[in-house]
Amino acid sequence: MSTVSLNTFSAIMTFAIDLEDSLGRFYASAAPLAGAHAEHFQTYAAKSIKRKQRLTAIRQDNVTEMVLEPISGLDVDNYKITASTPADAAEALSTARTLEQRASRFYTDAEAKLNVTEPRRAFQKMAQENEDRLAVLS
Amino acid sequence: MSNTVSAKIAKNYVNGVWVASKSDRIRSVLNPATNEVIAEVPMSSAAEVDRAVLAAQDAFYEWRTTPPYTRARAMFKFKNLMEEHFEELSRLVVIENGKTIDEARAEVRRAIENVELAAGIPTQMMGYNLEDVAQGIDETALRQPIGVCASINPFNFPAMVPLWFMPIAIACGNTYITKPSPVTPLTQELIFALLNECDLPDGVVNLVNGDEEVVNALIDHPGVRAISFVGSTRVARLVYERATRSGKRVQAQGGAKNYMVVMPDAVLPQTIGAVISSAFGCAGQRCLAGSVLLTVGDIHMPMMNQLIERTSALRVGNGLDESSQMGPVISRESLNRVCTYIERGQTDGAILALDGRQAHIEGHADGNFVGPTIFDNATPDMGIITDEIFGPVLSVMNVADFDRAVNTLELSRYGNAASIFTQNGRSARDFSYRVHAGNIGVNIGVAAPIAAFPFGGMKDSFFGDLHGQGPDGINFFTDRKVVIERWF
Repeated sequence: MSTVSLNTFSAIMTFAIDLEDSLGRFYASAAPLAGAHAEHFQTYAAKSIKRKQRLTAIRQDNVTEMVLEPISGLDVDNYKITASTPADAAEALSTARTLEQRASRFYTDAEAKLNVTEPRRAFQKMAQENEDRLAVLS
Repeated sequence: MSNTVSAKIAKNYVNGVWVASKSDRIRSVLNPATNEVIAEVPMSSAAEVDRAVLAAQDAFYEWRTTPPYTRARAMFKFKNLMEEHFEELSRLVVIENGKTIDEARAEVRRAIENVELAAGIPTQMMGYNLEDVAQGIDETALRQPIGVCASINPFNFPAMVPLWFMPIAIACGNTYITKPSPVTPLTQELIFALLNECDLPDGVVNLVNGDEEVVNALIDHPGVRAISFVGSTRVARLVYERATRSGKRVQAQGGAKNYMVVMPDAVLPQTIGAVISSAFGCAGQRCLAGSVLLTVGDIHMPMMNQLIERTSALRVGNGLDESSQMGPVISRESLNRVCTYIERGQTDGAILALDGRQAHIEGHADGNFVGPTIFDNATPDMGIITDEIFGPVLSVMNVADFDRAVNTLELSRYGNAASIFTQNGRSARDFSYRVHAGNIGVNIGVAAPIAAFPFGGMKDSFFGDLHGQGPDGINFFTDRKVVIERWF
């Protein structure tokens, strides 16, 4: 996934798109091993595709030079995710929780740095969805 | 990271086909981040302009009698194609212009907005009428297209500026010739490749690459009815004078020196972000770039301290790297000009608070990079204040109060944009009321009107009557005719 500094609107949006890509791939590959959560994993994998499409559209539609300002204070190392296919259901669940926590933290922190309403709303919604998933996976 | 596009010779697009220019005068198109040759562009001849004008004239009658809804559908198709090619267009803007990918995406978005505006032509072009202006006599005001129109475009917004004019012009039923900047011709070539898919009749849109010879040929050609120009004040004035002499309708946007006034009650963190974006976005190569900062009263020191700290942290680099916050300037000549102005500012006695001349970008030793530069203690008579540098140089002056700030900025010969940062509505209102600039920002550093509003300056920043975009655009590209009728 993208490892550039999160210091521009595009860098943040591209990181979010890559993050959803990673989440989607993890859930798709881990679903057969996720036991009772297999259906949730399949749903989350599909949802990541939609979230990725939404983020791509936002990156394309909401960039405006009137408010295109430098961004600081987001450390990419705090949000990077890496996930391989888990060995069993317990590992799948544990990894999923970690990923959701990271994603939620990213969307929450990044939302505070953006100055355009639509991406902020989208990030708030996505952070909330990640929190909701955490509750389901707990 | 791929910096290159396939090197090739750009072609003209005339009468619905791509044609190679017969000119043996060829210029290289360079990537400003690397100075690699990415293409070559011919400097077409007056005879080639003549062929484009004849094609546009031949196409005019069929196109002007095409129903506005049909013309609008072509704009919808064009918009959809631009959306599909959004990333490709944005990357091409970066490669030939040097701006950051964020800035390029913003530019392409604004370009598309102008196409969207043109898609509304069936309602925007409507006239009005009144029955019984005298008994049994009705009067109707109509809008009609004017004929062949042309635009002469700058390098700094290779996607957006040409589309300030062309979509509205052709949606109104005119036919058109675009001359891209010879420095950045590739974006328009791609845009015309998309237009080629829009089922427009041959000759409705034409593209002729070139330099002064093409410009003069367009201006002097009796078949061209209207000229839109964006560039320096010197050339805008020349274009305006020469084209109006031959009876053409002209809108000529010139240079700028945009002031930003920071009042003592401004919200500093946000203000500084907006000032940095305005001064250093697009490496200062925007006609809306804020290049003079007037701090009012005792906000000066805290403003300067934070401004320098945050500006120093800007990441300068290749615009294709999404973490780059500022790209190179367009050319080696431009880089030298900026550096000369920095030296001149020092010689004139301004304090060089941040010097961008030592910018070294890893892997880009040959790029046209100069970092953000800030002068403090500038005075209104210095060249860094009076002249348009068109680079990432911000000059700061401190004044005692609001009136002195307005009086100082009113000394400028330019009037493209001006911004005020304040939490006081009275100051904001007085500023918008008194300042002679075409675009006013209130807590906005880049006061860029959206497509539905006119974009243009005052004083030496604009020559003409009707600006680009919005209702002015519709008026510029149409004649108004009144029909008074009675029936026996």
